[in-house]
Amino acid sequence: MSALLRRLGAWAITLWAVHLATFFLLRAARGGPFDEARSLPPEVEAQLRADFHLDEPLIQQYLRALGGALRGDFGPSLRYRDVRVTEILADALPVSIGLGLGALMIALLLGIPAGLAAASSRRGLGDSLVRAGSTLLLSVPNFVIAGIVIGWFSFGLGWFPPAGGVGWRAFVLPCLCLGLPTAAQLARLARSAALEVLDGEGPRAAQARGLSPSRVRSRHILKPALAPLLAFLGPTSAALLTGSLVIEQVFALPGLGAHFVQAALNRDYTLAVGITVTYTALLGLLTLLADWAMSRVDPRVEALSG
Amino acid sequence: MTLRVLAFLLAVLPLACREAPRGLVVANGDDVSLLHPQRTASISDARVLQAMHAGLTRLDPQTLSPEPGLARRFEASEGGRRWRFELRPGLRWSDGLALQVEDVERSWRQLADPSQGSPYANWLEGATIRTTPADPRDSTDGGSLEIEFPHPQPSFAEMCAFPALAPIAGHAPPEQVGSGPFRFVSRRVRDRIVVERNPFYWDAAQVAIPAIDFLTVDSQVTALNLFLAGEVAYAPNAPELAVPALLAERGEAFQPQPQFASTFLRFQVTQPPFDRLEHRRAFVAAIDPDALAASLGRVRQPAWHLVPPESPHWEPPPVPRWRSAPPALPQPAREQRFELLYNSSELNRSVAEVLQAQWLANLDLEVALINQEWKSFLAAQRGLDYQISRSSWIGDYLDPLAFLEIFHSESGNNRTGWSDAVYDGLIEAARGESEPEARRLLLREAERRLLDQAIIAPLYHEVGLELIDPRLEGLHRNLRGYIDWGRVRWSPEEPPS
Repeated sequence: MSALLRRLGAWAITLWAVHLATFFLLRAARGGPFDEARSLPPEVEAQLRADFHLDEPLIQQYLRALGGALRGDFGPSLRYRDVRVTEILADALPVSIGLGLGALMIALLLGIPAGLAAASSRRGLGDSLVRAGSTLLLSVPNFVIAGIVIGWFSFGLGWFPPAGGVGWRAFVLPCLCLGLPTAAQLARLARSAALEVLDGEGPRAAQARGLSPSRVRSRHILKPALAPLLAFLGPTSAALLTGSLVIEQVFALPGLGAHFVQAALNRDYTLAVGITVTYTALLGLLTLLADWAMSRVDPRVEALSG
Repeated sequence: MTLRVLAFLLAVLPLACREAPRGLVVANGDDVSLLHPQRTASISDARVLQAMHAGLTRLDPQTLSPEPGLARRFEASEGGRRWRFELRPGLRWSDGLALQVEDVERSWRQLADPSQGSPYANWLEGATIRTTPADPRDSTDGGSLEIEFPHPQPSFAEMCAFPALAPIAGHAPPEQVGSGPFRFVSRRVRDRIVVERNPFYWDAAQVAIPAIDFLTVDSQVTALNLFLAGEVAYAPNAPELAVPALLAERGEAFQPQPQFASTFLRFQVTQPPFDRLEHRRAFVAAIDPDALAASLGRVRQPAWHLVPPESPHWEPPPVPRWRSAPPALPQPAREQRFELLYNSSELNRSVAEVLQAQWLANLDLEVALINQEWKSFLAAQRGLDYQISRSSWIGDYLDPLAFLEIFHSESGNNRTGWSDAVYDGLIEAARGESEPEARRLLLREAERRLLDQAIIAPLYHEVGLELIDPRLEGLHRNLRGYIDWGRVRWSPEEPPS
């Protein structure tokens, strides 16, 4: 229990440090939220700066932002002046989570079986195919994968819209593009983990004890091989949920990734701080979950107890 | 475990799914930032606002000449110093409440008030407004409004079709209630804005499209994909790389159209090396706009002037004579480091590289290229922290003054440090001149002065790369990218599939 509290404490300090760093780094960048190709009349610009407290001393602005963040309110967006940052987060987060989870499902459903199959046919045709395929998917950037997938499924077969679209159909291609490289990574990892277990004593001993082949596979190969996969899945899930910028842009999905970069480019201080803090919180939560799952699979790991 | 993940996925996905689009779907480019007609100068914002807010006038979508809108009659006197608008009777906001001439007066006073944060606050500077309310006993009287400017505003009828001058409701947020052909339904930031036909619009009988979805599509390639797949019927900008293929294969949907916009270089004239006239002239004369336009695929028109040649009734001044007999760059200048600043984009980089090559060939000088992201670039330009900077300008109304006034020494858009009493005098005299021919001559002289002093180097006049579904009628390519959504309809022969 005390370990959990320690973790949560460290998490809170990380969130605060990220908030502080984002706030001051953004202010250090040149240009402001109201700079546009057409200059605002000076008195209008002064009024806008006052409306959003940008005329106050920086430290006062920081304390105001920190106080707001503690209450879960990051203030109004400086670009979408009539929308609050929390409203934008509430709209965009489900899109990114849906996209990330879809990609994770694809990665798990394709990657692990492919890796295990490759391990069981070591140096055979299946193994070579999985290894070649995963190397290819890992070396091609995801916007190239996106181009190929759009050309094939949207313009060739006409099954899915090339971008935007409505309902679940809008998510199939982006989830595929985001999930495939992770599936490749998982396949390689699952393959080497399974090979390591197969080479060990466990499965043979189990077989000698007269256990059925399916029971040997599930208890003595799959379960021990899962531990390194879980360690990998924690940060990977976080990366999938937060790192979908390019895919969101290519498929015009209104997720957090696109906001993340645009907010910094637009000098939308409040939105950029809000998103960075949200991402950090998400990352911490997912790592915690992965550690907990690890402790369930591998008794040597006592992440959150004792 | 897998089941639990699946259950969570099923719970989350519907949240992420979106409502079904109806009617017309448009790729609107950048995300709309503000839906308040007075507070934004963004083009993608204006496209949506154009649907939600009607002006006292509207423009002919082909010729851009002003026609009656909320006002059934308008007239100018004293060369455009006074304007009188007579409103249609029985006008209504999109929520059904009455729109009166007092609403127009209140909206215009609000526009001019600096505390309201409008980039166009100075449009009505010094103007006095008088309204005559509608006679309650006369159902054919909609009331009238007179506005008097300190100096003539010959383009005011055209400006009235611009969202900034549209009346805004006092009883409800203008983000939701307007008087245009369409009314607000929903908005999701970075996703889409949905509007539907407004039954209370003064010309509602002519509005044929039931609803429009304005999608946020940052990437031009994505917008092109959506257009080619038939998912959207309009996209404002085709990607530069696709232009040759679109010209060859999609001629019916893609016809580049000159815009009332120019791209040019600004010189920072307060510090060496470009505080000296001969340095600026040598750099300008070494540029060949024809070769530049050719290297950009001949879609854009090479520019020798700031004001686009399409300006109505406009005759540009002669190109300075020194451009054909370029002065040699003095030797001491050659030891300087020269820099060209531009904001990061593929097109801007191509332009900068062509200019770099032209300066190397014609002046035997290596100019360093510096690119910055947009906000840093703007800050550098405003802070005069550059030597030469790529620039462009879009005229708000079809008048050379919309371009020339930016180099008045008091303009916040000058950004060169140039302050010239002769030029300022010409601009002020033109502003005060009510006789059209005399005004034109003053503006022509102002442009001649600007070019002769080599404050800028014109590069090319911009071109619109709109993709328009050929089955749409009433959506015309024009100089300002102006769209009257109320007059757009699907062609009766070929209804959309």
